[in-house]
Amino acid sequence: MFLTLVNIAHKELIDALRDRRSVAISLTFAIFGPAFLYLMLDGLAKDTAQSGEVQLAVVGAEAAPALIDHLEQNGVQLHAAETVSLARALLSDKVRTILEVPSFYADHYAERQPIALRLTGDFKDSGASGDVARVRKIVEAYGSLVANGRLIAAGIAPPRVNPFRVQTYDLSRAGGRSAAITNSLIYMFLIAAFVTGAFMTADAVAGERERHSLEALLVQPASPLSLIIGKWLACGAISVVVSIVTVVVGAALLTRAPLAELGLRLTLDTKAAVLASVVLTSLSLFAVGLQVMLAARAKTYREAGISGQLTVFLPVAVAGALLLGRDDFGVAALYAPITGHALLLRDTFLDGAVSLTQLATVTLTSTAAVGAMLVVGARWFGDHQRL
Amino acid sequence: MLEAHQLRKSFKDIQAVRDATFCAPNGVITALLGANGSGKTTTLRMLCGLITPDSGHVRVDDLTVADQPGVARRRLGVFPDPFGLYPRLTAREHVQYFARFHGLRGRALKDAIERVAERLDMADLLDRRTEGFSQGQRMKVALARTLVHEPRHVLLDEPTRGLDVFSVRLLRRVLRSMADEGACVLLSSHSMTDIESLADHVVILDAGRVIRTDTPAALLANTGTVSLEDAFVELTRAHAA
Repeated sequence: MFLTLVNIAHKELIDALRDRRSVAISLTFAIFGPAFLYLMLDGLAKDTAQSGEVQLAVVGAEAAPALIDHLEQNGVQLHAAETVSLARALLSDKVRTILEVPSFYADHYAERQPIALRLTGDFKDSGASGDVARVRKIVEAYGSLVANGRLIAAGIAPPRVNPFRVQTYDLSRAGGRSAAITNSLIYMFLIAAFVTGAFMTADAVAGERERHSLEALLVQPASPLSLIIGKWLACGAISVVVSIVTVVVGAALLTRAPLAELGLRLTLDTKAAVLASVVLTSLSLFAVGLQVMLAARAKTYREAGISGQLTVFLPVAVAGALLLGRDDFGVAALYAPITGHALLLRDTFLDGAVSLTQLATVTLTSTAAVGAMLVVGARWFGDHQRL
Repeated sequence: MLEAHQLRKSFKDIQAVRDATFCAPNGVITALLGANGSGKTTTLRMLCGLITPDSGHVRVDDLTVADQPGVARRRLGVFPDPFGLYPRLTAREHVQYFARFHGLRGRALKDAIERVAERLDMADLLDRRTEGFSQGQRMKVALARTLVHEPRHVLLDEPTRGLDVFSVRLLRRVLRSMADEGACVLLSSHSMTDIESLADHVVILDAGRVIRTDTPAALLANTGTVSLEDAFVELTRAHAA
């Protein structure tokens, strides 16, 4: 039995590794998945850095000293200009907006008349529109302060004319944002475990039927179950290697990503990489088991390829739920394949450790599920009516 | 020796094989002759244990296939139709893969491959991938993987289909030499030329039933015809009536 399995797995490995298209798809995902995430984080960090300071060209600053002080206190760096044309000359990658204070500002202020302040910028540029939005908020906040002062002077308590006060708490600053990025990581790894096997199992299993090689195989002194297990071992081994490559490339790139600038706390050390590899080994073998079973039922390579690709939606659904913050799957899901794997990966990257009981249970349930799927797959594979 | 006893097989409402009983002795080439849909392939599949008969049994020498399918298959070499090769594997890798199912390893495996390659005159093909092979070259690879473990019983389903005259001659020569060495060779065909040039013994199937078993010469004598084709038509017509 052992030598038969080795023979089948050896042949399938040679055959699969010579299929350049499938190997290229797998390795492309393993390398470009983490690279894409790295670029996303890098871009996010640059945007965050840019949104941290606003530089503003101001015309007529001397007419509104209190407003100018308020802007500076709120982190706006000002560049005074005497005329609008001089202010335009100051525009650059960093100075993207002009504030025009009219010369009658002081008179209208004293007379308590509305004052039109003009903000000018290239609003197609997302940086400039961001600057304008921020300056507008600061000016509106200053307007509220002035209005409250006038109400008090008129003997009216400000709360009477402002019945609502909205308070905003930005959870994305700390753990929340780390969780969101971690869920993106999990999304990438879960899919990596499923992508590799989709085409390889289609070729190894349904391909036998399509090439008419199945009959010659089934008349050998080897049971359909041993044939299916051998094929699963070969496809599973490749899928595990691709998943581990994804983890290694992902950890190597993401440790170079500007996580601290984004306020992220992800654990990407060697221990986390090893833990993630262990979890993904179990998941990859489960995914390939499912794909082998479906391919054994398929009549053609194409049909098996489609069913294999459809299995990718299972981890997409789980990862999507995590990304949307809906992680209350219930107790059973802690130990079930896919959901259990996803939660173990999340603990790995957030805490750098997992519950060994959960890891062992998820591995056991996955292995049991694989066993059942391979038995069913072997029955379909050896069914003479499907020859 | 291969023996089929009272084999019966249905697929839903279709009775593919009905009470087929015949024997394919050692040292003889036996041909299953029948029109398309007469039950030849189903019978061969039951003989090699690929399909379980609804009733009846198959014996390979002293073994009942249903009782010990794995052991029985070690004694068989099966040449299916179509050949079904792996395009990314070389001819040698094909033969190695199938030989290892029969326990061949190391030096024994290497020697077995050399012997079968020499027998089939395919040494120049061994290290080429089978993608792009001609039908004759594909036949050689399929026959090599069938014969590499030197089975005592060889079953071939429509072995000459789609082959050119050179490949057919090679196949005939190999099968004849195997029978002369004492092997049991059983092939299915609807080609009268194959049967006339190869078979020592003919089993005629019609609508799933064995309607006659005899030597080609006896079939001609008994039907009063001068060709096997005429004899076959005469017998199937008489059976239908």
